[in-house]
Amino acid sequence: MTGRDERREAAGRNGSRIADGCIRRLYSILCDEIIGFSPSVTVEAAPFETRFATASGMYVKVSPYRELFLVSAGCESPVEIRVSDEDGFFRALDLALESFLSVSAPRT
Amino acid sequence: MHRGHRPRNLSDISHLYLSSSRVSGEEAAGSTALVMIASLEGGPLRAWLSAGMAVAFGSQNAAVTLLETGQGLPCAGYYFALKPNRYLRLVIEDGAVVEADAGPNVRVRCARDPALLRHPGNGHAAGPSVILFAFDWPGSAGTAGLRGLLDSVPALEGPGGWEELPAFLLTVSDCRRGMAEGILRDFEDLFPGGPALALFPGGEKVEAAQGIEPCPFPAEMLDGLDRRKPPSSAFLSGLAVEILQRLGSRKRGAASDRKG
Repeated sequence: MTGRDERREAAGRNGSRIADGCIRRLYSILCDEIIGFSPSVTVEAAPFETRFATASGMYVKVSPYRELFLVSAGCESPVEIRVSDEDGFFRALDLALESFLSVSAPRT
Repeated sequence: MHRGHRPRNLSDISHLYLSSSRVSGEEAAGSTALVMIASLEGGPLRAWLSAGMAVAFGSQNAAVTLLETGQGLPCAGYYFALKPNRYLRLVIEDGAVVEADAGPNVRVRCARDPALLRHPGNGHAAGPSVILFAFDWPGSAGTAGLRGLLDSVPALEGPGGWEELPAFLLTVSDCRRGMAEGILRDFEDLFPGGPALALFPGGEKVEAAQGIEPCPFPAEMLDGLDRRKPPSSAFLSGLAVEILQRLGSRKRGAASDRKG
């Protein structure tokens, strides 16, 4: 398992393609919050998207563009939210959190 | 504390699952208690358990103030079904406090910085007042320890402050071996002999924890971790009753000590 700083750095790399500073900040916060859900959240920075996953089944994909970013949760029939303002950000983070909680299981 | 106690098995604590009794008016009247919930490994259990316990105390006619602080999501606002733009405000806004009222008896305040947690007032409950303070351990305390953390919360100031309150510690962890040692040491220093329970999802087999009574809860309760409502179960109701009774008996004991 990699440390939080390394995971943040990996997730942050793709954010540089977002030109708008406010949206880039929201992207950065969203990535940081998803990483903070659990130490078990893994980050994979692909050329055009950043993927967050857990072994228990959470899968969230964030695709940054010049003026916005897209957040999708789930593998089959994923729900996708477009983030170009705070309202979209709140809905996207809420979606990612619900996705994480729905598959979280205790380590008994 | 409870060092040297044998680990309890499920039958020892079955009353927690089955109890439906209420705390008597005599036990409840005019008292204020501090119940701390320390989440030992981050994750959602801090918010989930604190929301459930707030409602469980509220159902005992207690005036409940839930004060929650910690860095990770979710906060209790998720479980009180606040809209995302309300319960997530604290992730983008320094100084944001999530506020919610859950029925007539329960006031909720969540903030990332404990210094933002102010007391919202008690409402009109007839029973005792319970301040439920939920935090990550050691994350919320940093190097200041439990005393520093409690000192940093404005809602715990006032005449006598938190040091005058009867206190109960609940630790919660998603596995049997949560590292509770640091907080137990601090708790024992601040509230000598104060009661403490270690909650974790479990079954029949209970392992000894470090100097704290293990208290497994039904793991099935976590099936609803993503539901936007506080967990509700006979276990939590029974636990609320048990805590109020134990705090009541400590208060009576302290009063008779003073008379003697």
